[in-house]
Amino acid sequence: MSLSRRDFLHYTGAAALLAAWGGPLGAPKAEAAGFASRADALTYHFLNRISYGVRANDIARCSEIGIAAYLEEQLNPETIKTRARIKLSPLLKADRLKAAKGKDAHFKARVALVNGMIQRAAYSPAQLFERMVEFWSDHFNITLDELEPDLIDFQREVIRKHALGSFKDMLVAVAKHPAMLYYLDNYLNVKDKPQENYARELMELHTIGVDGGYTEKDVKEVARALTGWTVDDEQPGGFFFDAEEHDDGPKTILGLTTPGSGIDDGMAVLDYLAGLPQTAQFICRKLCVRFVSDSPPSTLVDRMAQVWMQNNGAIKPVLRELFLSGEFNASIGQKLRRPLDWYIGVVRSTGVEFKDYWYMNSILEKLGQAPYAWEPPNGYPDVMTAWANTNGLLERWNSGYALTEYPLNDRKSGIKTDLLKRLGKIQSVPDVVDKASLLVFGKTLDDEKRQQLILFITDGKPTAVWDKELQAKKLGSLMALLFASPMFQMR
Amino acid sequence: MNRFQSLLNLDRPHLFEVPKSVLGEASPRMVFSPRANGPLGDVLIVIFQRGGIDGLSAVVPYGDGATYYDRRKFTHVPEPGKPGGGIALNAQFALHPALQPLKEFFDLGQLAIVHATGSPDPSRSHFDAERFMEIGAPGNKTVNTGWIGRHLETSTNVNESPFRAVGIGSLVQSSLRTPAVSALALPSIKGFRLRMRGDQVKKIQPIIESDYHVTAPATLLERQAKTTFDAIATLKEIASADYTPANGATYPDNGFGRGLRQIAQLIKADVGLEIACIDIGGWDTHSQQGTLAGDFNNRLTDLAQGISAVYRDLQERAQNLTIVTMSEFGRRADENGSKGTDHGHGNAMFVLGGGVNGGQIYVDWPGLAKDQLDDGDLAITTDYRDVLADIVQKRLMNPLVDQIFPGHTITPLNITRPRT
Repeated sequence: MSLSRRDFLHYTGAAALLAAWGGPLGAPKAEAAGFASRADALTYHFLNRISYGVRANDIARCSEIGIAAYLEEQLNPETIKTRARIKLSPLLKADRLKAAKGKDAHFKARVALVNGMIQRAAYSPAQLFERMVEFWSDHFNITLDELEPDLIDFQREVIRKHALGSFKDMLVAVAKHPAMLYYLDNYLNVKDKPQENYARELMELHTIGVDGGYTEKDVKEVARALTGWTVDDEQPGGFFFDAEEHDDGPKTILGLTTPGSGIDDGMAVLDYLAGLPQTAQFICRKLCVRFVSDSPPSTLVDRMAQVWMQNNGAIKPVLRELFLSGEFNASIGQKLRRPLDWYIGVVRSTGVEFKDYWYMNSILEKLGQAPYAWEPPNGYPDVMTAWANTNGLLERWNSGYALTEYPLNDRKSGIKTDLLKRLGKIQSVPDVVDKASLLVFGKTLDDEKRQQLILFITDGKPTAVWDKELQAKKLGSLMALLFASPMFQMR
Repeated sequence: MNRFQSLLNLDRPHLFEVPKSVLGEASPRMVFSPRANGPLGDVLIVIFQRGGIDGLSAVVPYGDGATYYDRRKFTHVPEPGKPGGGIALNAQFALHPALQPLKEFFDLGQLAIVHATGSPDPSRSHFDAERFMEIGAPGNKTVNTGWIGRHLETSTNVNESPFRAVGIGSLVQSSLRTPAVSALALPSIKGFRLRMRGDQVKKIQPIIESDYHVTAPATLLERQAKTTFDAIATLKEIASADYTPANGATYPDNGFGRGLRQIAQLIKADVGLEIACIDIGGWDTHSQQGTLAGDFNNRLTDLAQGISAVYRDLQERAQNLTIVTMSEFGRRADENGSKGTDHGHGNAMFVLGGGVNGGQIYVDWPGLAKDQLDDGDLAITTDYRDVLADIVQKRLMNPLVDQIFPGHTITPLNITRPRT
């Protein structure tokens, strides 16, 4: 049998990745990429993966205490002192009904939610926590449209609450949240007319995965078990189990027979699915695709799944296994930044802010990843082949320019940054290249690249002096070039 | 002699009088790169009417008499012959007067109309219905690629041109989605470039090119970068060449018209375009529909003028061109209390091209009497996937329609002829 076209593309895609990033940025050549030692290269790699952009002071601290200790801090975000000033809307504390009240409530909720996500991802010192929030937000994808107030509540009470906790608790919280009950229609699931949408995704996307071994009959049985799980705004939190609409009588799902009646029926299903080894495999593999590589080694996935099972789905030990593994260390430079990740990286290094929400949203749409806007329930894709396309690259190149050049040279652009403040006093052309590189990469560039950019700024004139005129002419372009570089596309 | 050739003998000089200036060397034919191949079959243009067009006002069932007119006091098209009346196609159906520019193609046997068609999913939500239609798997929320995407993925054609699949707009239409082929979102030919200060582009571009090793790209990202610069260069050439539409085609001066014009430019430049998607919005006419004078009439005018212009402009290629229209749903049979119409179900589709068995209305008319309606709406008797499958199989030369429309058993139709 010949290779299907899909397989062929998949194969060449993977091969291209290995050829691409095993080489120039790969482990054996780490020193050549501007690191003094392998340890330095691994520290950078680790920070690059757990954060939205490596900063010089993070490198210093991680080098000082070591990766394992730094990881412990990140796994216990409550121990990290928040020095950063993160601007958050008070709306993010509102419950779903309160957030839905008043004029333009949905729009205000949307702005609060999206800006809050970007601010936290860009500035929170608990970077790994924010990365895990992103991971679970994709895993339990919910589209913003019409659900903005519910999503505020969902993000706070479900995703952020359980991001580093127990998967089982999170799964139950998701199942009972009005945002998910609406998004996947389980609020309509009643005994006379079962609605299978959520039941199917619960297995296919949230727990055991499409290859988890379930049948169409299992989908129907899970749907029956979840009949009567609906929304009632009178109830605290909005979840209501409507016993009248519940299909009593036992259900058989894979190896489970449920009690039959009451809310325990659905609870038994959630508990059972969360505890299956297929679920451990499925989610550990997704974690690896997010944090290691697009085709992660099964040795690592298997070990993580084992840890998952031993710890009853606790997330922290699984992340420890991941980040302290040899497979992780061997994956330098293999992940493409997704568009939103790219944008947050720009915000993190320059402090971009928009006056108009829709202007920002249009840029994110053009980049291809407006927050909470992925329609299908599987979440935005995570692999390079889904994102590396012509228009996407061009938009990154152009947006990197717009986001820094406009605020510098056009006061009416509606975009501002605190780039000049962050750069501080500039002594010379090489100085601006170094300081800009530090902002963007947390480190200076290798000599060849550095010289190229110096030449770009001076137009080849060695006597050129960094002054207001040169700043107006070249600073935006310099930043654009850093944001356009292949190095900034990868993490 | 096939049907199209026979048309050349018809007494319709205005369609076929081709000014010399737009033929051959004068049209900007790009030497893009040896990798850029053309389509295996027809070029397909897919027009999506966003918002749910009132198909009952576009292709009017005047033959139903009172069962139609009683439901539509303010939102109907009068019978042919009456003031503001429709253009009779047969004893049962008439075109809305604004669709006059398309009548000619119907008479030429190149325009087919399908009625009482659509997506069988009962959803009346724009969001769900559009998505289901575009993924080509109504009701199935787990399919994440689009029907065109799967066609490109399963087609035996090898075409590495960045212009293989183009979505006019800043976002690629969901129907084009597939991990296997990256469709180009093209808001405008002129805009696809490094949008930087003029004096900076010249200096920035070589640095990006050297960063990505575009002279000898070795990685996926580097190859994409090379393709991007290739596309920029090609589009720059196209944008700089004066473009005069052929055959006196006049595009409406709006986003839809400009988009179609760009599609024609790309097709004529032979840059490897196989499928182009374009949207026309404004059909969600819940109040003051303006069937004969107002919003609906204006939009329908834009639609007809746009389709007429692009088809006329591409007349010399009509043999290798198919255009299809679709919308997420029709409107309710009964108008509402605000002289508008709410979300409905069955609708009309247009299929236009040199290989179309046109001049006919493909319909198993379900009727508009109370017991004939589906939940108050025109019922669907032809699945829109059967219409698309007919095009995909015969005109796009891809037999794998069961993969393109998963879970659907195709009912063969005879709207198009197999390519010869």
